[in-house]
Amino acid sequence: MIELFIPIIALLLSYLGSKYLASALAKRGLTVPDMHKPGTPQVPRPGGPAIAFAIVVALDILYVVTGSEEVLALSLTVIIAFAVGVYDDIRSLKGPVKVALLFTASLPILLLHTYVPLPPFPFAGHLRITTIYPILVFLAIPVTSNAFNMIDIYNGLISGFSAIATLPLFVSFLIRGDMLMVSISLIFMMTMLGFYLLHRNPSKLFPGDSGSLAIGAAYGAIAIIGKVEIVAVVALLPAILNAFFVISSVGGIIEHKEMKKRPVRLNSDFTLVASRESDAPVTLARMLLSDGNLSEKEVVYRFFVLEAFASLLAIITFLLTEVRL
Amino acid sequence: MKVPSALVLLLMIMTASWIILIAMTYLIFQVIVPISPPIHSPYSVVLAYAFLKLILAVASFGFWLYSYFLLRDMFVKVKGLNRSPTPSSSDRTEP
Repeated sequence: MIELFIPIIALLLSYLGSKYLASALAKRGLTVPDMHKPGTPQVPRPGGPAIAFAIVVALDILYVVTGSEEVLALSLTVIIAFAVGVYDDIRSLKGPVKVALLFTASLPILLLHTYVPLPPFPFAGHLRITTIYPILVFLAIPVTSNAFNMIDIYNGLISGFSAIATLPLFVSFLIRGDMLMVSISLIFMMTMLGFYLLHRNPSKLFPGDSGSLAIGAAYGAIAIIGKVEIVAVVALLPAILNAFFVISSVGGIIEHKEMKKRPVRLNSDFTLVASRESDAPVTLARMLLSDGNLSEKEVVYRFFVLEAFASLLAIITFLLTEVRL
Repeated sequence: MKVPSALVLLLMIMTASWIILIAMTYLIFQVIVPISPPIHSPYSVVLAYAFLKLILAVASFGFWLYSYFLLRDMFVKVKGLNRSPTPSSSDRTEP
């Protein structure tokens, strides 16, 4: 029963840690300009240490209570992805190098063998893919980490998006009666909510790559360890489609700042507008802005609507895994 | 016909992507992967079956990816994302 109180610890650690980090980073001048606001205010970055600290400490308490290797694997995955993110925040890695380094974050799951190569699929029951499953695990963490990293573009987006995306996983674990995974998914959700309180518009702290990569790795690892892979894929459809549209537009994995043409432009009244240049990357934000100018808050709200819809589809997907044709 | 808003169109694209995802995973894992040669088949037949499965899986995966390109291009066309003139030069560019 104590497992269900640990998420509250994660919420407090995330919120208080973020608050402390924001002030400590500001004092040391570790800030970046928020270009979407009048006067381009300086915002502390990275908030990744507060996110990783909250998740890892809460998971370590859960490990002490349960002794579960799944919790240990998840904790190590987050630490490795966070370390890659810290290096990226300091040195700014090239896209392919970042992906290559993130493969190492899959290793704790593979080495501790905390996966079951029988993923449930709608209408098909449990698939027996023992040979290719470890390869999919190896690929999954870099994919989810980068998908989250690519939507970290507006105030409050990645933290709010992640909290909503965790709901279908939480519901799936609850229906299945897997209380360990219920606790783990709640720890993740509460960490995101704690961080969201400082990350929401107007942001007082940006997650940085250390935050976004740790969030993506944690999400991917929860999906694998909790055996809800297809549910997670559906819940992440907006992020996956965004990544697919960007990669197919620019012809590879590149950093935001490396894009030659901007997908979205900023007006003098600080509203956002979609680029009409034919060779600008097709991103989800550009698509959402195709009707006309919107404020940053309005774009983020539309992202949340998309994610809430994807989460609903994900819950339906989970229910369909119980159906066999 | 009235063009739906960008948000509604994206919700439709997501629903289509979801249906394609479920249909294609079912096709690949439940139809193509279980294809197997009759028991005690000669090595050449086993090899031919493996080759057939590989071709079918690659073709299905290719069609799957292509369908997402189609959805993206449909959105760009319907919303005229590449058609209008560029915003005025006084507009600021996002960093």
